[in-house]
Amino acid sequence: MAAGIISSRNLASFSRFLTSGTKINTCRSINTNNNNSCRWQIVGAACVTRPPVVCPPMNPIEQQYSGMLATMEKELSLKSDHEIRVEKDKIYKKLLMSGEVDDAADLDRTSTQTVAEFEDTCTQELNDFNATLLPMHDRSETNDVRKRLHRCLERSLVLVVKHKLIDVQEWTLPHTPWTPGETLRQTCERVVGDVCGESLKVKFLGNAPCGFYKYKYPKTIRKDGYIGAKVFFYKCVVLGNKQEEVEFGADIDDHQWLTHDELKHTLKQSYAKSISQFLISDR
Amino acid sequence: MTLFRTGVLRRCVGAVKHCSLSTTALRSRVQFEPPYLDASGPEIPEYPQLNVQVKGYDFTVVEHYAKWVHNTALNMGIDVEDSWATPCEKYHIQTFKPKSSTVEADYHLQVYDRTVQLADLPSVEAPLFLEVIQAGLPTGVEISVHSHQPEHSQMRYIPDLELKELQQQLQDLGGPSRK
Repeated sequence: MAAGIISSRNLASFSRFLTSGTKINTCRSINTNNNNSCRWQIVGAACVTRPPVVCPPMNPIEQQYSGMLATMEKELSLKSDHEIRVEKDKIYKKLLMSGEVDDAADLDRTSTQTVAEFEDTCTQELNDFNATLLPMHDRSETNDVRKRLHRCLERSLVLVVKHKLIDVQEWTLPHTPWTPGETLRQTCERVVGDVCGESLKVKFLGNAPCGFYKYKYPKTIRKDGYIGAKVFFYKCVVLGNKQEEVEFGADIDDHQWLTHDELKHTLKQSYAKSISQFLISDR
Repeated sequence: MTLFRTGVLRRCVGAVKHCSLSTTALRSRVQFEPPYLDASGPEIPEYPQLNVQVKGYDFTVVEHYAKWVHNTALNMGIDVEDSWATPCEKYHIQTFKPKSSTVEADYHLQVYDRTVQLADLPSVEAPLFLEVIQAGLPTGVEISVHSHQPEHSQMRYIPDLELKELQQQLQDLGGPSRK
């Protein structure tokens, strides 16, 4: 679908799907000479998410149920080739011990690999495979852990930053004001490019914003006649599974990758509420 | 055994409740409206036909996940046109000991394939649907969402070898006598 500039018709149609229920102010601040009460700065923000990489560990109920299913399956299943071979081996050994069968004459025993050797090679292969897996839990609990992209592999993470330019230092999603002549989605792509650099490959989901937040500037920093800002959130997903860390732009004081529970504690109440309306929980 | 997160679905149904009509209700409503009202096309651009293909090595997981995708689409009010299974691809994999031809390990694997076809997915609902699908994705399963091409439906037919052979014979003899 072509990414056109958001016309008022599209605004009306996607405003139905916004769960915040706030009506979009139609008197936009492009080349208008209205009084200051009508001017809101339009800001595009990107909610950069890293989806979970690994399956979450099972609940106690899930563990019990899966254990029960596994035992039921085992009881109802037929014997595998390996199990039949183990039994044959046992019987043969017994006969050897009692001296009824001569070892050299039996042609069946000229198999290339004994049962014990086969089991050993299998366990060796399993151990080699387990060694290549990513570690589930990072034992270091320092503050720096939150900055790493590869923490909490079984949860989905959201990027929050502290921008340098604003007086009030708060954790927010990366944002930048909209400039005329580009679509809101292009604004958000610009945000991700500036904040995260070119190293982070990101895929945007859809051309329409998924969330909205409105706030008024404090009277001291009402610049250019804007009394406040209307922030439109776009969701995007980090692609790929690279191990190296992301380089962040110069505008950013600090950054963190947070899970949804941590977001509620770190962000401002109202901001966190509007964000939680479009985040799909991973529990 | 992986259990899917139905909690995710319930929350999403709450968010889009006002537009989640079941497909039967949609069809019955359209019957009584004159056709000229829809002549200019849909208000919101729609994807005409979208295939969600689910592939994986574990049969039960693939089956259950495909069923869940189908149910999710129905619950979100998306029109599911068709949903089918393609025969599995069988792989025989042999690993050899280095610089020799003695077989170290021998595996027989099958990749199972299920597809759910969605018709007229509104582009506003598409990102939400895809997110829900991804949130419930189990381990070892791969999804591919692509628009439907004629080759995808051609692949489902089993070729009639006898007919092809006869047609080939006809070609060899110089084509049909009457065109």
